[in-house]
Amino acid sequence: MSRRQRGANSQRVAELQRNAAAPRMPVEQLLPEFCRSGTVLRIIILAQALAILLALVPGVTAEFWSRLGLISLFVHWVTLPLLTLLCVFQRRWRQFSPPALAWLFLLLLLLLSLLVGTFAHQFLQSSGWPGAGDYYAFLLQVLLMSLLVGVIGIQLGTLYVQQRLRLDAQARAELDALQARIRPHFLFNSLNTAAELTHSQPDLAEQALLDLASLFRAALHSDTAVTLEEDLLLARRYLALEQLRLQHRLQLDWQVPAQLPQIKIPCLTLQPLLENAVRHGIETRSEPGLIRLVLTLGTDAVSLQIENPRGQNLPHSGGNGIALGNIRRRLELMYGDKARLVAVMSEDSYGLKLTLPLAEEGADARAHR
Amino acid sequence: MRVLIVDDEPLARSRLCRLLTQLGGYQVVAEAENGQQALQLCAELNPDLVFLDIEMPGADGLRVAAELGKNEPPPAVIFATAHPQHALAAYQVAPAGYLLKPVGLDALQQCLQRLGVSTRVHLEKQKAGAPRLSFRIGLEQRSILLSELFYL
Repeated sequence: MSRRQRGANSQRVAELQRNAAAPRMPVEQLLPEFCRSGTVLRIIILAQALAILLALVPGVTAEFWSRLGLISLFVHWVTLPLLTLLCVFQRRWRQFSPPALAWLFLLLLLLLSLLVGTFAHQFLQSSGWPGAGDYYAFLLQVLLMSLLVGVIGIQLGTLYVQQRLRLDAQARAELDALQARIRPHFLFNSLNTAAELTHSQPDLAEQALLDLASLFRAALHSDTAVTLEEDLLLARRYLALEQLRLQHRLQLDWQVPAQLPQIKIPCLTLQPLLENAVRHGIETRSEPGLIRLVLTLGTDAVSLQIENPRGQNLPHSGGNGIALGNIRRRLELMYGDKARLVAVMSEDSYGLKLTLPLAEEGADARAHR
Repeated sequence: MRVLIVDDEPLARSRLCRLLTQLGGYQVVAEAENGQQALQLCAELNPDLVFLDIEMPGADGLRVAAELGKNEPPPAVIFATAHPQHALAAYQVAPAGYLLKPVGLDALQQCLQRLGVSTRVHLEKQKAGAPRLSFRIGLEQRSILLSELFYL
């Protein structure tokens, strides 16, 4: 193997690894915009709701309205500076990881509570309010409450970020799938092939156009989940088109059992994997190459192996690794960490192994409409 | 006109071949499925016109075209590719045409019609190397192309 070949492959590995790292969106884009009036209003309303909640606690003898007033005052005194600080620092969040941001938020909240708490205690004592009590006990109460509220806030933030990531992955999947289908190399070469076949072999031309149509339809609905069998059929149709194009250069070893389990996977999971195999293992070589797809049924998982020969350096590489990262994310959204997609390298071949859990409870429909 | 077709896809080759036969006047002398083979066949057969795909295994179409350009005189090159984005790179190796797949008969015909049309520059360049006759009128030195002389 030449050095250049090895270089290309190690580049591919790096690409795979980069794509494995999850969020591709920077943190500051995932979190709400704290400087926006809508967000500020929402948080103030939440803070007021919290104040009312605290004032409503039964068993406290002090008069409700004066109690609510004091608590509201305290809560807003903490909330508004906190919002200001978040707004000011929002531009610099780029440098922090999400957990660091959570700790930072908690620290800010506690510091502000400490400050406001100290002032509040002094004020309450000087005005002779009966509930003030010992300074340290008061402060401890305040800090504990802030801590709890902060933790709830972080939980809400995490949910928000997860939701954003999920929507992002879904949108990207649709886009990627569409772009992959409309990749000029595939689309126009397939159409060129079909145009020629209309003269020599009209039946094959018809089949090619139908295959192309089904792939396009699938790409337009790539946010849905389909059965493994349906996705295998799509992959088969894709390979039929590529075989028309590449003819004897693309050899196929398709080992799939007749009886397949009724598990659901994201639409167009397998086709991009095979497309990568064709692009890297077949298109770049003059001599024929073999793509092997082996599906084995285990007791609690289905494993699918795709193997292609190692190709030469790709002359005009496009963002093919994006597809892999995206498939990983879509599988993760559907199966959590129960589905795995790993690359297996050897001397002269490149393989991908996809493992899907058989248990139905893993595949929950929430991620896919 | 003797034509060589270079494409890694058999059906793309046979499409061009059929369209050329349909137009008439073109003789496809050989087909190549990769860059190396194309260069070798060109050296052997000396075609007048080469249809080149760009994305091929091994040496790609752009490299083949650059290599062919070194011949004296070089064959005319028409790129046939699915990618419009290679046009700029292709332009730098001076092709006679750039066809987008799927290739249609009209586009092919237009491309072939433009082929070999010589520009004024072309003519001027030919004049530059041609034999001239120098003469003198008064103090001024002038020259005229031998081919432009009228013999009385």
